[in-house]
Amino acid sequence: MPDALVPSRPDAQAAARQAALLGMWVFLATEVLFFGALFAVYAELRHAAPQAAAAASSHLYREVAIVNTALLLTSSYLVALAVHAARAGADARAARLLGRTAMLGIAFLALKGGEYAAEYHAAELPLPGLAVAAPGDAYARFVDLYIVMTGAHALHVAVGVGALLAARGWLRRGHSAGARRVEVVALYWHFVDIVWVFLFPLLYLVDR
Amino acid sequence: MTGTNDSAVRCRLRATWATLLVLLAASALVALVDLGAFNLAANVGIAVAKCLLVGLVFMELADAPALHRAVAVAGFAWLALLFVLGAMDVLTRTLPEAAS
Repeated sequence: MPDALVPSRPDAQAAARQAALLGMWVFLATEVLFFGALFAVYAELRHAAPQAAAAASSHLYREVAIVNTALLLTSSYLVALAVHAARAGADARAARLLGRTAMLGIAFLALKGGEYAAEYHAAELPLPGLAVAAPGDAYARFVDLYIVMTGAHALHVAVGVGALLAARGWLRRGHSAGARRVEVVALYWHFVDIVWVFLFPLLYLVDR
Repeated sequence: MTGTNDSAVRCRLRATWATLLVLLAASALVALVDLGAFNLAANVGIAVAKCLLVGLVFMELADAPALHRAVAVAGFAWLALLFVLGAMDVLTRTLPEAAS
């Protein structure tokens, strides 16, 4: 093969980076539709039964959700800083920032777990033997949607924390594709943040 | 990478983070006031503003290749279609009394 047709190493790395980022964007587009379908069900319920939605929402822990929103917004900032550091070759700093981002994610999950525990004790959760409302009851349907939407989101946060820690490990071991992987993981983490940005007002601030 | 560029990027990220927290405070404050239907509009408007900031600055869509931006827009375009078609009944059907 003539030399001119062999991509130079920097070109190949740039192409691999663009492909990796494009792959994550396509995956995130499918995620938009996954969460979007749940938001569509939510819109229908809120239109059909606004009072029941407001009543159910008023029982949620709004102050905890505000703190959790601040945690995720801050974590997005830290992971953006980590990307910036990784690109500049400051791997140790990037690894530290990824660790802090993961810690904020764990704090978010801990607070969310506390909410679920309190709601379990208040017999609000849709569990066999615990759910006392009639099937189809609008109040109970809002609680169900709250659990499904925040539960699916919390699962994404947990996966994201794992990915952040994996990216931190790649950087620490000096993996050649470390910086590129940090960028891909960061995109996923920002998306998880964006989903919460919509979940917070639509679930917790209905009665206002 | 030059030092100036480095501090400019960090400054931009910090300003975005501060704006996001201000928007969070705004949605918490709006919730304290009964504005009727405007509460929902304000909540969704603030969420969209946060989403745009995270997408354009943190996810770098503002500087991303056209293909990446197209994929991001496509996700939301299909979602808009899902919402419009899914709301067909609500958007079009009215009772005869309500229509008169």
